[in-house]
Amino acid sequence: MTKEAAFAEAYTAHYRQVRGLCRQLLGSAERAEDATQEAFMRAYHAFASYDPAQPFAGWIMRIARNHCLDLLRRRTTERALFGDEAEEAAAAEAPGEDGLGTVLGAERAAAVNAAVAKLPERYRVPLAFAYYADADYDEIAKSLGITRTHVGVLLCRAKQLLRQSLEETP
Amino acid sequence: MNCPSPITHSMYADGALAAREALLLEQHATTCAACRTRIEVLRQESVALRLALRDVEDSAPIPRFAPPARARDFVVLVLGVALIGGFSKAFWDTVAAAIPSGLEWLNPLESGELYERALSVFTFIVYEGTAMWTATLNLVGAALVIALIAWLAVTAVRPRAFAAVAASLLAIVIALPSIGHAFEIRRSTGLVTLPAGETVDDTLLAAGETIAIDGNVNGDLLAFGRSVTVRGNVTGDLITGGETINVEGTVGGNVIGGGRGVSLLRARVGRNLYGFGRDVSVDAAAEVAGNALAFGEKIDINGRIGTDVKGFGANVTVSGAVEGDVEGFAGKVTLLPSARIGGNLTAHVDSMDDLEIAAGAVVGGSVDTQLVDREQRRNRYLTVRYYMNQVVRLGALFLSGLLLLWLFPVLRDASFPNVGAVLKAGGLGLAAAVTLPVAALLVCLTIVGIPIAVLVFALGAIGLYVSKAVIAQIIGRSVFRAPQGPPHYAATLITGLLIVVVAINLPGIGGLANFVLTLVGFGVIVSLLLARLNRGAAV
Repeated sequence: MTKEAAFAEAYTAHYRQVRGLCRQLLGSAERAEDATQEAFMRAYHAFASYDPAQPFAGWIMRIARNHCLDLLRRRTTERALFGDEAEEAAAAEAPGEDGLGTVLGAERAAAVNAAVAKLPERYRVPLAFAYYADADYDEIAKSLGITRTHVGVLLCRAKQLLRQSLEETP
Repeated sequence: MNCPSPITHSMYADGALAAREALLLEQHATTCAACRTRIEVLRQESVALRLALRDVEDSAPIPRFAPPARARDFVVLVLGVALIGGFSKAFWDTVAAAIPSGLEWLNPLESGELYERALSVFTFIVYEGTAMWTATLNLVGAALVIALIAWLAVTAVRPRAFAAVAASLLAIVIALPSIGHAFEIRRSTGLVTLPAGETVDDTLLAAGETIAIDGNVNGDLLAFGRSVTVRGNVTGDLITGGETINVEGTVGGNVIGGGRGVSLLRARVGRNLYGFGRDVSVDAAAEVAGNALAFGEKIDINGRIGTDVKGFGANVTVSGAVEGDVEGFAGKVTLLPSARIGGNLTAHVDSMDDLEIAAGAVVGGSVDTQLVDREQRRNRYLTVRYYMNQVVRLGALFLSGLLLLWLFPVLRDASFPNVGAVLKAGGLGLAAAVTLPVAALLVCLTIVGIPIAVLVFALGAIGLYVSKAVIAQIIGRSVFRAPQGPPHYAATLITGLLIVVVAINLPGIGGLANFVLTLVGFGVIVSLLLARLNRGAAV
């Protein structure tokens, strides 16, 4: 199989997954479309350096993630992007008796996604990293340039805001 | 131990707590029901969140991945189209030989020489493209205004596209000449002069309402104005555009002039004359050492031409001395008594009466009248040859189109979401079709620019040629509006091409249809190229 054909196949197989990630990270379907194309374009140029022993999904998702982060960073400075750790920690709350888990039937997925899209960037980005891209805390911390605990704080807050938002819109 | 913070719980549920802390929390949880519940809730939450995030309604189609165009693709396209054109031409020649009275008018440069062969194949390939450009160049002055308007329209819709075009044009205009030589610019809204006795030692660009050059230019002269008069000496080329252009001085290189009237009065031209205008005339006292190539309504050759004359126009009149051959593609070719032609005379006219040779005129070589078959022109829909020609044309376009779509897959999915997009593409196509030859002409100023200009011309001509395939593909796709998606692009292409070829051959409006379809298709190609440039620049 030629390089082109191999790439085209991988493109079709992973396009939706990558677009999903971009959408969660950027919070906009339209911007996600462009970012996805660009991520694949970058991957295409770097295809020679891709190690076929590694899963393609991981590789392309990493490229897409980094590209989305670049896009987000370009709009705002890093500090402003992820806020102050101590301040955030103070505001963190535990879930009530019934967290998201109980209210989240399949039929509420659309509501969750809408709520996620409305989250401020500093919560949405780590949330998408952790729960969509399945990145662990160390990876997220490294990618975002923040501490590991800060990641924990942001995720905790993100889920808290989601709970509030979903309670408001039953 | 007190209950740990919500953050610790959350991290524990995500499996992100350090081993020691996790152990402490587990120990605490054995005795704290509240913490046990919280952890359990958080775990369920993670699972639910993961599922929900992936459960995005994503039925949006996957757009085709367009790998970046490589120079190789363009080369393959150019070679491929040339090859297809060559084969079509060869095929046509064979067919034409079998049919009485061959189609020489399709092949105006019949001659054994390799150069002319290549040129005639090229003419065949860009049959429509060149025809359009001839028209465009004839109107270069007016076209610049149209281009400006089209540009403004494009600016309104696509600021970045404008920036890209403007920047590249500026770069061409500013950077390239400076590689070759220095540059002097004289500009004014009114009169621009170079008085007699004054000398400019580099390329001079003069722009203004009235331009009078009486001094010397030791380099090229570019003069654009309403009225341009050159009485001084130019050692290089004279490239000029305006309503009235009069050359009375000496030009060492070529004269390339476009305007309503282009006249060489007492001029001495060291190389060739390329004249585009309503009236192109070489006065009795004027002399061109090289060839004279003139496009216009009225072409008068009264002076001395060192080599050949090729005239395209309604009336081509020769009353001077031409050392080489004279070839006229015209409504009427006239030789006045004073005409002296060293070589052959070939007239491509409608009837024998349209070539008039006055008594006293001398033709050293042969006189040949190539008739453009009237019968065929009037009743072209009734001749077999006409339909065969269309089949060859369709075949050549189909093969070229297939090659194009294969090389540039992004064109397979091109479409117009609304009427505005069609207008936009048409405007962009017009702007590009006008600016490309102008830009090519401008880069001709430098030696390094000449190959670039040739490339721009060739790519532009091929672009205009294949633009009909692009528009055909779009039309073909809209015909097959099936729920399971369009069929293979070859099927949509041939369907669209059939419609396009029929449309451009309709009596009366066919020409207009051809013009519009070509421009819109060209606009699609240009906009895709610009979009690629923009994306590259924006990242």
